[in-house]
Amino acid sequence: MPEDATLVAQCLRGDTRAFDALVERYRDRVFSLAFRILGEASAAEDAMQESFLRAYTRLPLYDPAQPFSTWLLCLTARVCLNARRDRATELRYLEQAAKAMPPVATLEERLYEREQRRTLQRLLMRLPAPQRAAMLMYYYEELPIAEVARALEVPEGTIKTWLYRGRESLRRWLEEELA
Amino acid sequence: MRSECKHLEPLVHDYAEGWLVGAERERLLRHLVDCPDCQEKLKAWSAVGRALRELPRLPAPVSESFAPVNENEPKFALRLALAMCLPVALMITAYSTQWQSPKWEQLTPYEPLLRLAERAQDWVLTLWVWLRGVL
Ligand SMILES: [Zn+2]
Repeated sequence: MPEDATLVAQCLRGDTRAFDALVERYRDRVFSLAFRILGEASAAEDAMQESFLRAYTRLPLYDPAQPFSTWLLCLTARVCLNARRDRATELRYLEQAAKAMPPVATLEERLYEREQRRTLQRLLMRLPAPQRAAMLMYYYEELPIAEVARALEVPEGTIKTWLYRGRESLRRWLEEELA
Repeated sequence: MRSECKHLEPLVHDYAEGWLVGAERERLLRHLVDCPDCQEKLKAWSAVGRALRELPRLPAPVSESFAPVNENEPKFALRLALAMCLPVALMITAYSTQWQSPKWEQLTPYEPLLRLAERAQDWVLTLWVWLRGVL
């Protein structure tokens, strides 16, 4: 398996198959982070596509001093937070479209549904979106605080406060749920 | 909850993250030893962090629409041929609509050359922009 840096370099020389390999390597991680932030499979899929597309067009701006995974996942979190803003108006339309479609539950879809119902994911969705994104970037994806702060465009101190509050909220809610 | 506990709460959080060092760490550890409330809080926060880390990763749906411009690109010759289509079409249009062969007796010597040169400038410019766009 070639390293990320090798694949990125090949991609910058115009080898699109190298980018396909990167997509294959990271698609589950990107999708999972998007799903955890957005709480919905179809929105997460859109965010995944948008993230890879942006990664592809912005690859010349990527600084190889940083791990590719960090760069890609930070970009994904930003895409998700932007997507959320455009989402409210879109939701009504989607609900109508969903009603019009026959129900098809693949194994994957049932898995996503189960995840949506699971307590922790459900409680995560109660947090304000940027706070949720910070929590997931830091705990779930184990990205460094500095990178999380840069991606979400707030000071590191704010991220630490969000993590503190987010964790305390989750603790309280979980105790209520499990009481 | 004792007032000291409230005061130390951010330190408990930092300790759970492993961010706490030096004197503050010592101070918190001294407090933790005989404070079951803060011990509980530390355990609960650690558990939340662990639960978030252990959220399962989900398989991304296989989407056929994702293709970052990776279709097999046409060969250079084909692209060049395609690129030439527009300028050729332009030239044909220009000639068929506007160009009439000059009647020699009506012309001053330089007029047709001037008109040709003006048109040639436009064509070269269009051709150049088009070629750069396509190639
Ligand atoms: Zn205490």
